Amino acid sequence: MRAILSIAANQILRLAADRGALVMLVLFPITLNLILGISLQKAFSPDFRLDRPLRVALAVEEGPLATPLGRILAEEVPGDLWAVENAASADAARALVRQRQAEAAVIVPAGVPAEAIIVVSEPGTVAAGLTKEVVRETLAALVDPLAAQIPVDTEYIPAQPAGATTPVASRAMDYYAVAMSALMIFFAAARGTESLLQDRQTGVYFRVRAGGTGRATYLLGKLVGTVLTSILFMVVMAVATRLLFGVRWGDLAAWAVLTVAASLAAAGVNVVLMALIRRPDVLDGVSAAVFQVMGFFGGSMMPIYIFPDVMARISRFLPNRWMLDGYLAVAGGSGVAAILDEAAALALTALVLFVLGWSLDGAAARAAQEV
Amino acid sequence: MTVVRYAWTVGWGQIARTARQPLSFMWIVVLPLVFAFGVGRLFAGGTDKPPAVLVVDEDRSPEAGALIAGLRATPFDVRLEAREEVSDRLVAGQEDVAIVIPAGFGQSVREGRPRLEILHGPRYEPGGVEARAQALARALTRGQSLDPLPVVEEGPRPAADPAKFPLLRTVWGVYVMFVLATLLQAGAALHEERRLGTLPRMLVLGVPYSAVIAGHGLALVLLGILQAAVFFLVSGAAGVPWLAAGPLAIALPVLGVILAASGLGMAIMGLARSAAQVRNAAAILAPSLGMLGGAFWPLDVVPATMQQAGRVSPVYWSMEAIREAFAYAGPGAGQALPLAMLLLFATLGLAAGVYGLRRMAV
Repeated sequence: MRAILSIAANQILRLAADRGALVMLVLFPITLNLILGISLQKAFSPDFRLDRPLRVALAVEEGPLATPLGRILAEEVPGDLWAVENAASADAARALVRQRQAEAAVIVPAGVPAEAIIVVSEPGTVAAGLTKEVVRETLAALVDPLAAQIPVDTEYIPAQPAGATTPVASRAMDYYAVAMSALMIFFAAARGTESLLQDRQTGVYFRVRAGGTGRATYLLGKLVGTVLTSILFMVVMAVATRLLFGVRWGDLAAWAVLTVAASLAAAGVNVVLMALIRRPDVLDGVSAAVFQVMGFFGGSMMPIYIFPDVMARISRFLPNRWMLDGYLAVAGGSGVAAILDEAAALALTALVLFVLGWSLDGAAARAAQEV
Repeated sequence: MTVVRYAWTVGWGQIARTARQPLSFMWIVVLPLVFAFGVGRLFAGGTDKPPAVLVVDEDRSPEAGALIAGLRATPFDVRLEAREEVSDRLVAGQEDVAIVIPAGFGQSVREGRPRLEILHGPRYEPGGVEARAQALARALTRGQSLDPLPVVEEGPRPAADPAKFPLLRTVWGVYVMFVLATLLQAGAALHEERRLGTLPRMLVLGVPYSAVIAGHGLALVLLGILQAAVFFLVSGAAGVPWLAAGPLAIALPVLGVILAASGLGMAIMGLARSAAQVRNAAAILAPSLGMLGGAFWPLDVVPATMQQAGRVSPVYWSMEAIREAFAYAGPGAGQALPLAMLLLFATLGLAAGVYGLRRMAV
């Protein structure tokens, strides 16, 4: 036991002395947390509003429906949404967009609704989507004034969860504090497994083994060090994001249970990678690539809420997605009971990966005549 | 002439060393393509795909069928699901709203007072989906046509296909971020040479220090060109219309981005004191500059201050060059300012790099 703790403590001390690694592990997620948290806040906000109204060029031809429609678009759309500039013709409206003096142009032909209304805007932007939506809504109510008077009994019902779901973070800053931590915990754990390979490369491993320490003891020591490193990383992230960005991580007991399970899973993934790739320089690059792809599909870079079905299904198989779900639930006010499924899944995954990694590493060690 | 030959040798030597590492291939080529198409799928739906609408049909009457047909003709991508599944998706924030056609809808239409339910998530705001459903219900009541609403979208530049531009823009953004990641990381090579002792040996053998620096700068540009060649061939074959606005429309921004990233790579090479510092700086700077500059999403979704802050990123100017060429004025004059800004990044980076690298000469 003492040998295991000594090896684990040595690993943590080595990391503490590596300023570059510390900067990378802490500064990187905090920086991205800051940028993503500010940039995407509006996407997380229930009342999405543009910072300034869209500049819309409006070209309306005279027609039985076109004229009233043009009047409504010019006068009745809320001012915080649209600032309308009347254009003399369709070409003039198009030119304003092309010269970027307007974000969108709406061209209403005389023959509407038989002729299509044209919305000119940079495709795929908020301006394009919003302009089309406003025009469609206005038109839908205007096509038949008599029909518009028919009452439609519409009941608005807030959805209630029927099964397990990912809780919704109300702030981008909160979401990305969790998401970045769920990604970077794998990098933190990688420091431990890489140090084992470095020990083998520099001969430290064989000298310690020659001193009577068994392979199991050494690996267990490294594993404990890796798990402790991951837990420390999560503590630093939780404290730093709380102080810097006001992120609330929720119930401490639930957070602790989840953090231990997440650290075990992150260590498990790294143990398997280490067993498969036994050169530290190669392992560094491969691990980074694997973690980035996992992070992308697990919701660490783009909000999980906007994932299309196929990507959402892929993400359900990833441990970082379980971490994300668990931490978001805790941050949303859940206690230990609510995250037991995620914690159990992470712990079980860790166990399977440890056994797999141990076997693979043993086989590789025998092939290299290390044991 | 000798200096140029030395620089060329150093540059190609660096490229050869990179090519010998299979891992480099993954970082330089495979990952950018994986991310480009992954992010592209998220953000570049394009305008050819109708928006998805969740519908729960608990009535299954002819009127309910007509309402669904009207929604499809809007056009909406109608997804019929059970109420429980829809509720989970709304609570999870995957969708904001669903139209529920309650049992008895057909009867309510025949009685002249149609009845609908709107199931919504926590971030819901009233919008076009339910307005359209209500309009359709009214039209059904009056026995009117449920023809689609005549609104069409057009790009500012008539030649550009509005359906494909969002994909092009997103794939370009990811490409630029990976150019930065690749070329900033490659700046570690000179520090590795110093650590391994090959740099002092070269200097002792009489290779001018300026030739070594020029060689490493050249290696960055060559690496960028090789990466671009593979990336654009593969992504072009996969359907990204890079040549839609003519070859110069894409070639000039590519060159500008490679030069700007090489300049920044030189700057980091000169300012850092070890290869590890270079790699750390690259790991933080590349995604940060990418996100600031709008590599992953149109900047109109971010706050105005962040839109302004984006201008400090070369990614922003590269996006501008692409938007001008493909969506607005077309290739040529509209690209002049963004390209000039990219060259400015290249020049300033090069100057900072050369200044910083002078200390390694001794």
